[in-house]
Amino acid sequence: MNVWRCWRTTRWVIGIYLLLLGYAVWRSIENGHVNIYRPFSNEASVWLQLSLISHFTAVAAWILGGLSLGRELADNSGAVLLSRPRSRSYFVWSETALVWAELLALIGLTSGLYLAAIRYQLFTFVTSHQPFPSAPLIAATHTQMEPIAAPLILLSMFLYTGLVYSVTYLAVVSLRRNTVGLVAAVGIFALYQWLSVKTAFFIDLPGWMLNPFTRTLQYHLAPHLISSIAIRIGIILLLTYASQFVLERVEIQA
Amino acid sequence: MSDLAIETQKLTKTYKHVDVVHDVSLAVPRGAIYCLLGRNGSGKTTTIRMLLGLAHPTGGNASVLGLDCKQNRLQILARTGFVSDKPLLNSMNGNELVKFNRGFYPRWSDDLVKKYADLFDIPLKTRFRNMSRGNQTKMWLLLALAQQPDLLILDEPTAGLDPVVTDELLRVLVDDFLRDGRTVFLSSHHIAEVERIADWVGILDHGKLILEARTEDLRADIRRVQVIGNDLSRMKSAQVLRSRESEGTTEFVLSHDADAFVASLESQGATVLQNAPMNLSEVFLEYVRKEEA
Repeated sequence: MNVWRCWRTTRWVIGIYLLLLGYAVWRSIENGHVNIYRPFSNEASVWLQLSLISHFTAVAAWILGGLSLGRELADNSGAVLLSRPRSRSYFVWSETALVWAELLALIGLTSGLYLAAIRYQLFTFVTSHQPFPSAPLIAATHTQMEPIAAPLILLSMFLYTGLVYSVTYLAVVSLRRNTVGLVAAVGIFALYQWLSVKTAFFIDLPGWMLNPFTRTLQYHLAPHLISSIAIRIGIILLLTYASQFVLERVEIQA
Repeated sequence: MSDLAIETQKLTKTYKHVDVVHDVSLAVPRGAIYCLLGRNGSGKTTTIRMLLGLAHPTGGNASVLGLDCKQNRLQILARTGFVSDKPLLNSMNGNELVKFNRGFYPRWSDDLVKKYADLFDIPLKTRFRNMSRGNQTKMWLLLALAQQPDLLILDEPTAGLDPVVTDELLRVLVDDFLRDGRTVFLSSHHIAEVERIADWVGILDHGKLILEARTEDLRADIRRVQVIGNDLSRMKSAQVLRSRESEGTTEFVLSHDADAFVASLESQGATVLQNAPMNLSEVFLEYVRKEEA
């Protein structure tokens, strides 16, 4: 029902993302993919590379946030959805759950393809004796990463995209105009970045993306990692509850 | 179980300090076709939205199928079909709309989907946004009928429809839907079209319910009386909705007890030229004009 409706609405974003991802992987294999030479731990190097790729996924999350129930309200289709015998929270959470699943799938696929691509490069490197393999290449293949590192990297990427989605979703549902909501969400991201720069001298505001590692030569988890993760999960849930709160008070007017 | 499918008591909705609906008390009997009449902006759609939980009342109470609208919104929606003049999901075609709606209703019938799709000749492979106005309304009606509701609420179902489609739609309501003792509540400002099917009418004007009666009672009670006599326009009586003097005759519109009023006119020497019933459109106009006066 609603999950199917959401899938139908969002599938083109997933399709375009996969096409672009496929193209990026093909290009990286074709060109040789040597990006990071920083002498970080293996885990941090992989995270650094994937954190850059995460921005790509975050754009998908932003677009998915714009395709939410708020868009149906803007299109005057709110009456049909909200007159179905389901609670309004059902519409928020079923839609959100689907998009979270989609984001998880995209993140998993992106990371998996990235690692597969650099493994392929290692194979090319070994067989052709090319010099200077990339740090992520070594990280992913030459030495083993700590077992907890991969889930932490994936979790970090998911929390980042989840946060982008939740902010956008709330903006679109609150304003009930998807284009304005999308712009408002960008405004919020930009404002936070501006605040981070302005207050950098006094306070280190947390970034949108959680770095699970300290940037050292040795493998080290970032301090207060559990609380940072918990706070981000809390903010995402809070934003989703806020969207539910807004939707429960929405009135369909003539 | 209450004999009323819909009951409201002093239902009120205020937007920005303006009463869009004010103290509306409706009583819609089960098994009837109840038509809520009113001009554009009279509060019909807002009343319907409050019944369906799409808008929150500012005051008063409402119950649908014996269930309180505030407490039992989901149970009401599960048993109520809704037809609106607003878009369904624009990007879906008819088959996809059926697929989307099917899961919400336990009594959903695919046989009815097929029956009404054939009967209405709805192009189910066409996207909703590309359907004609008539087919869009038929699509709404198909979805509402397939869920087999106890109550069907239609908000301006005939708006923008040609007479043939309007006839089809009204015929289905009377011949198919009402047969099992179910209730139809519809709003419209196209009075002539709904007159032939409505059992009950309510007239809403500026957010207030100014009349609620059985259609046959209106036809029997409300009469236009034309008389010749002196100074008759000054006659005051509770049943006189309006009086007008023109070219030596006086015309009265009476809400009830026309025969008694005519008898009193004749006793004063007046000559009655006409004592005729009025149709619903004329009744509507008289009541709305009386309110404005």
